[in-house]
Amino acid sequence: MKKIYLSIAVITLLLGASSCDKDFEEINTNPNATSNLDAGYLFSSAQQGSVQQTHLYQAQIVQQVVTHQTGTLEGGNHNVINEVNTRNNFNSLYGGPIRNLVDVIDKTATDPARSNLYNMARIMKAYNFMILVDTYGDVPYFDAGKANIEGADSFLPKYDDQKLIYEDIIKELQEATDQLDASKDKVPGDLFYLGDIPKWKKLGNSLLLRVGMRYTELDESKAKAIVADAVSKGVMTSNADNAIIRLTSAYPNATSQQLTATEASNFYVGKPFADYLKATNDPRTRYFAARYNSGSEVPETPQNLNGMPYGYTVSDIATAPGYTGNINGYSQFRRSTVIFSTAPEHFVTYSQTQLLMAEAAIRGYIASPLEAVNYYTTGIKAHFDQMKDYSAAVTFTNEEIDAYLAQPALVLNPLDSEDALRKINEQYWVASFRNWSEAWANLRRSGYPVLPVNRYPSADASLTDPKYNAQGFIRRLIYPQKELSVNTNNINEAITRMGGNTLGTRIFWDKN
Amino acid sequence: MNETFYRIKILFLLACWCFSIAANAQSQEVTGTILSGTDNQPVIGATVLVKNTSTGTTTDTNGKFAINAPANSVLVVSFIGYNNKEVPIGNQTSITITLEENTKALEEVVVTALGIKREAKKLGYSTASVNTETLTQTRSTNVGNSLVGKVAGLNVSAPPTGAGGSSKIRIRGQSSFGGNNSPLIIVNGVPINNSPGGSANGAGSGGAGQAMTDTGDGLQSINPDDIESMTVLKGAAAAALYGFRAKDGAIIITTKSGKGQVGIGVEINSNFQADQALDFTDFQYEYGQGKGGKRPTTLDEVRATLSSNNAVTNGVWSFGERLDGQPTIGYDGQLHPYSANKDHIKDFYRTGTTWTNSVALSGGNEKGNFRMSFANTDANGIVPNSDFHKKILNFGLNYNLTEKLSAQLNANYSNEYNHNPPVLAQQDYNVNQVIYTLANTIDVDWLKEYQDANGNEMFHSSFKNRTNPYWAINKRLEESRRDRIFGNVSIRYQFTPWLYAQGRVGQDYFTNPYNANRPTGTAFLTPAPSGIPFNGDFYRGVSTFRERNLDFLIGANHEFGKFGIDATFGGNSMDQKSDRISTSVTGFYVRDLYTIQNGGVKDPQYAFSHKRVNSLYGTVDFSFNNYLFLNLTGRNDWFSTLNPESNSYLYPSVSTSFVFSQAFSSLPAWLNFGKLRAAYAEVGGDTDPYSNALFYNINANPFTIGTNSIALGNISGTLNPNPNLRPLKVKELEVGLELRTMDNRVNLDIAAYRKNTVDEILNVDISNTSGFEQTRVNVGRLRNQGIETLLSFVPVRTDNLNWESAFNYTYNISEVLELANNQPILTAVRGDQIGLYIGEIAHEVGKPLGSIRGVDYLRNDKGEIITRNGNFQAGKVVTYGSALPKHTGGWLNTFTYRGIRVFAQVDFKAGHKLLSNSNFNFMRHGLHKGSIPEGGRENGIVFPGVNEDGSPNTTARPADDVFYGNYRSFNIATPFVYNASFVRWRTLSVGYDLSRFVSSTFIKGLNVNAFVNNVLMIKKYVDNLDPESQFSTSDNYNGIEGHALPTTRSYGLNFNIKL
Repeated sequence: MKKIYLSIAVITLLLGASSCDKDFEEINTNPNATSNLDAGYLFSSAQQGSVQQTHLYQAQIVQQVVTHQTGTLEGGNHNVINEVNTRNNFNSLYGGPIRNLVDVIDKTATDPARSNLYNMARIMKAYNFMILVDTYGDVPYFDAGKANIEGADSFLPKYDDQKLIYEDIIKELQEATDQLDASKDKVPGDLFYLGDIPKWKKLGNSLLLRVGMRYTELDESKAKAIVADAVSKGVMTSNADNAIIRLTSAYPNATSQQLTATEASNFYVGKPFADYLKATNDPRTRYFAARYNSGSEVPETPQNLNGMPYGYTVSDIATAPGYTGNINGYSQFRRSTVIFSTAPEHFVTYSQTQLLMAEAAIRGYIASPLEAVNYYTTGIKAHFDQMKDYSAAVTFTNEEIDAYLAQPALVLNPLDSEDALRKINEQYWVASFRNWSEAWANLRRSGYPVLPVNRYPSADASLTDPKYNAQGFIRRLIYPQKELSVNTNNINEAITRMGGNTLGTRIFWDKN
Repeated sequence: MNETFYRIKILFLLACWCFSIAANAQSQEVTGTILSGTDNQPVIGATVLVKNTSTGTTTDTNGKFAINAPANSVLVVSFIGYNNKEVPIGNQTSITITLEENTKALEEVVVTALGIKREAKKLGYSTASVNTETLTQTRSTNVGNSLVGKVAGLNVSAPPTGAGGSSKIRIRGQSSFGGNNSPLIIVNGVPINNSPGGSANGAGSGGAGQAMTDTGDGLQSINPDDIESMTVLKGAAAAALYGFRAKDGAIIITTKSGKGQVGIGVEINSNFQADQALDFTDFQYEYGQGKGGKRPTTLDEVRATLSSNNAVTNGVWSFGERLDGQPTIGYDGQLHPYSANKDHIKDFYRTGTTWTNSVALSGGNEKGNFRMSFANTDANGIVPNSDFHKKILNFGLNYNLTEKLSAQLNANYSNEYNHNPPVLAQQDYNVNQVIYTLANTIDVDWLKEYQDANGNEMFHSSFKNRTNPYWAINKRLEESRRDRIFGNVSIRYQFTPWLYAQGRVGQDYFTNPYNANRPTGTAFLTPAPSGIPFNGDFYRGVSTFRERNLDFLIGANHEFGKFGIDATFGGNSMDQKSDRISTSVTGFYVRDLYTIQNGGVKDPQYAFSHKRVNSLYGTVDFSFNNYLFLNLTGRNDWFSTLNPESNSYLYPSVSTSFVFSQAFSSLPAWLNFGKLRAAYAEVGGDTDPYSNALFYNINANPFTIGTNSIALGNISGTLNPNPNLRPLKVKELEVGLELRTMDNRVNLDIAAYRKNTVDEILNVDISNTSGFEQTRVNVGRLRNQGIETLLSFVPVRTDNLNWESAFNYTYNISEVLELANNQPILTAVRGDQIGLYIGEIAHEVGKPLGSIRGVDYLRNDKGEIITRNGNFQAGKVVTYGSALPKHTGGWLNTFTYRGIRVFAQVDFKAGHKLLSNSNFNFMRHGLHKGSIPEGGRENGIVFPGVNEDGSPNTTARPADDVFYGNYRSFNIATPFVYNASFVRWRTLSVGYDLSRFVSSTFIKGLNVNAFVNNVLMIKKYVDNLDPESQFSTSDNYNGIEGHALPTTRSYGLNFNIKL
């Protein structure tokens, strides 16, 4: 019996020695991740995540890119809803840059040693929210991206009035830009400028100029005030100021990847874009476009350009104008120059800034209308120069640029303001190639270029519904289906406020 | 916790003390022998007790015992399977006692939870023992797959995913909304990891090059020849002692030992099996390859080269002209008659072969025994260049160190090599999809020229993701290797006949090196990153898994007159660690060299997970007069994965059994045995580590700008962490009735259960604008309820001929009771997330689990299909029904006649739906008979619908790829949802015991067995396919069919020799 007691005592002692939840907290701490990360890394990631794919809607709405395919690639080419593609930017921006930036701002707001990082994050956030509003209208703004900070209370953020979001964006841009200070902390992980504060100030002001110009059709005096403020504080002054991310083989350009691989034979140059390049005999054509047969690349000349018209599908493309009996008879984008896998992504450029200032001058917001000519030609030349960002192979002679600019179709007459606005915005459209969110916003705002209405027979009904006055163009992308089912009350409030959740619903500044 | 623990300790010590105070004065030694009344052989291990005392002993291997007993006392002798016998000893000091076999109860011993052996009649819950002979005679490479149709309450399917694939076992329905609801597998008392590997089972790492394949589960590591017994613990009550791991029941496997072996015995088993692809297709062979009613006329049109959009063939369209046998250009550039090639499946798939050889050596003496076995399996799959090899070494040792102290060792080592497991579901590299959807005039052989002069893929379709199958099998490489050892060492001390203590250490450990490529030159691949000459991907990773279990068990029993008590107390500490180190590379410097070093862009990853659960448990059995039994269990688990404030959970169970045939003597004679039982239990389900806090990670590669390397950091994951999670709970009630009648020739076992899952841990959608897509909460509720029956009878029992027939049937119906935030529906997976086209699986409140959903035609209020300009349109997403069968069952027959043994099994499932992506493709490609309207394609198709004003559609559309392509444009699923019910003649085996012909030689036993698996499909409803053609074991993919392998019929031969 003694032996029994002894054995039991040993067993129980052995067990009792270790409590039943000893070391549990340590075991449940992930040794492979951190619960505290330097906000600088989150900021860099937010910048990288701001590179968005816009070739399925935005690029097709502005009629630079086209596919005749249906199914997964369908969207802007046929003016229809393809929810998988309409929700793309919404989800990737909120799930990436927005949540990172909100966290950065939360982590740095009260830390004077990181005030530049804090203010750069505010500018970056303003940039991304501008795209969200321009794309979807009312979106969650003030309460967005806070699930990890505030928990369950912010799982279903309310949708904010787009006008109020814009007001806050203006405020944020002004404050943050003003507060940037080269003598304070440096942000070496900045993908745009490696932390160069003067360049960030120019970016902040150029972005402010872009915001200001959104008001031209809504509130001229407001537009004027913002634009004048931005320009007076100093906008971009050369291509060296461009906000650009040069993608790398580890972080390739997703748009390029789709256009050059699985879908290489499905994307073409849109007919209106080709026609414009052709009509203006544009020297940039040879870098924009090429034709492919059996894998070989033949750069296009303006006169050979053959853009694919909109509104066709695989079944009837053979009946479309310009069909040469072979799909490869249509011009495509030149893979070795503008859509290679590490092609850079431009966010805000000197060229765009100069062209916006040309319009501001015509409108009398800044300087005199006569100075518009200078801004205009500088802006165009800046884009020629900017093309070199794509490839060292890109070269233009001064003679061909001058000859290009001297064409009557391009010469700006500042006294014919409507004609001037058309020409300026047509060039803005070209200069915003691959920056299609901006190209689309500016098209809606300015009404230029005047593009033919896509006559696809099964286009979304809202585009022709007089209620929306969409005039046959996609004015907005619809909210993700998931938001409608999850955040129902808040989103319904927004839909009521906007008067609909359709492709035809206009953004508040879209008054053209 | 500590306090509770000490209280239990004190209680226990008190109990021990109470037992030990029973003392007696004057004793004499009585020796004796216990014999069996049936054969006069000694009974080993019988219990001999002095009545009304705690003095007792057990008989040795010669049936002998010695005990100190007072004069004139009474000995009580008991042994399982025999009636208890009370013998007054008077003055005798030597005695022989004969025990009568208890035929009335047919006492059966069942291995229950924690390896505790109990008499079946005492159990208040349902268990089932699997006839292990059938596992070896009609074998599957994966032993789990042999369980199909054999046990009531068990829903087993064998997904056609290759020889090295997984099995899918579900007990009493699907107990959670998650994908893996597989029972706990216990081998010799210790759990092993049975999670299925491979992306097709939702277990891929997402590394570049990984495709949807099934790389096998834990049961692959078990050699069926080693299995002594297999018990299925179906309900929560049966498995309650496994606490947090018991939500899906348990399968208890005990491996063979050398017990009963005198001297050295050798057993050799050799099995050969040939597998043939079954072709269920019934395509149209009226119109040939082509588009828009035209056949291809030029090589460019046949070979969908870069100018593919002109090709009238696309390789997959059978919308050409009427077959006329006229010379027409083929893919190979030659002219061939324009006629159907009906044998795509026969021509491409080869005959699979499987060789399994095993040898076992066993031996023993009175001190102990051992058994050692080795098995080798070489399987060549039906897809060329796909094979699976495994070697299993099993060792078991039992040794009695002293009379009271015994030790046991079990170890199982397996080495598995899965080479090119077939790609499923997705398009890329999926040969099944290509072979099945190839235009009907193409000869498979034409594709054999699979690479061009540059070594790049020759593709046959502008759908470049439809990889040339010969390219896929020759150039793509996927290898999964697994080295695994699991086993345990235990030591047991028998203090007295009624008290023992046991300690055990068990471990399951494996490493799984895995690699896969996407070969350079594959048509659908993106170009290599700038500066890297060759495209393609390669992934290599090594996963390791280790689960260590430390446990102890103390058991005691005692009888007080008519009352008996049996108590067990134990504890367990489980520690589970897994990790994976891997690198994906994209682009290569040297062509066709698939290594990490040769890779261009590299993405290294490391994943780690660690959790621990500590547990204490106890069970008490009370018995009254050997006919009324009550069993109580309790288990408390402490979880490392939960909030420290609330990491302890208790799982109780109670079960009772009433053997009324023993209680009442007035029952009719035809009733041999009758028992009623009832049980209630609560068990749990686990949570993942690290889901309670927010983590950040740094991307594997920096962003480089010139010479600057910039680290990118992110918030981890899209799931917002919840620090307050609890384990889910399953609350189950069951009642049952067992009857044995007519001299045990007609037996019935019936059980009814209701199983409620509460506090289900769900990932709940939140607004993406919050920064996260989901959060995890404890809110879901679901229910499974049903009836299980086993009716077995012996229609013929003569000296020569014996026919045993058993019919098992299970009815299970599930219902989703609640989801989070009152949401009505929870999507488990959408087809497009896994490389398919149509359909989704969801759980909907008020409906059974596993709803199959998809896009319906656009319909008006009356339900008529609306056409616009003759074309149907996309309507709403609708629910078609559940993917889970309501009815499952099998009918098993064994005939024996003079050494010949014939086994035949028919099984069925019914009451569920299947959504077929294959038939969707067959329709839009023009292969499905439904793509020919009445009167032929020449007259176009007037789709039976109505215009928007309600008038009948009269517009004819060309019956071509554009019209049928609308199924794809709109992703319409309705026509491709089928009743998945089937009745199939699963197996036929004929065995012959040749032992008597060799009895004069050194051979002790010789058996041959021939078998056929998948003999005949008796009834099915799915067009062109086997209704069991599903590609995954994951419940998230239930009911979605997506171009898995064809099912096979196998023919096998088995030799078994005992020396």
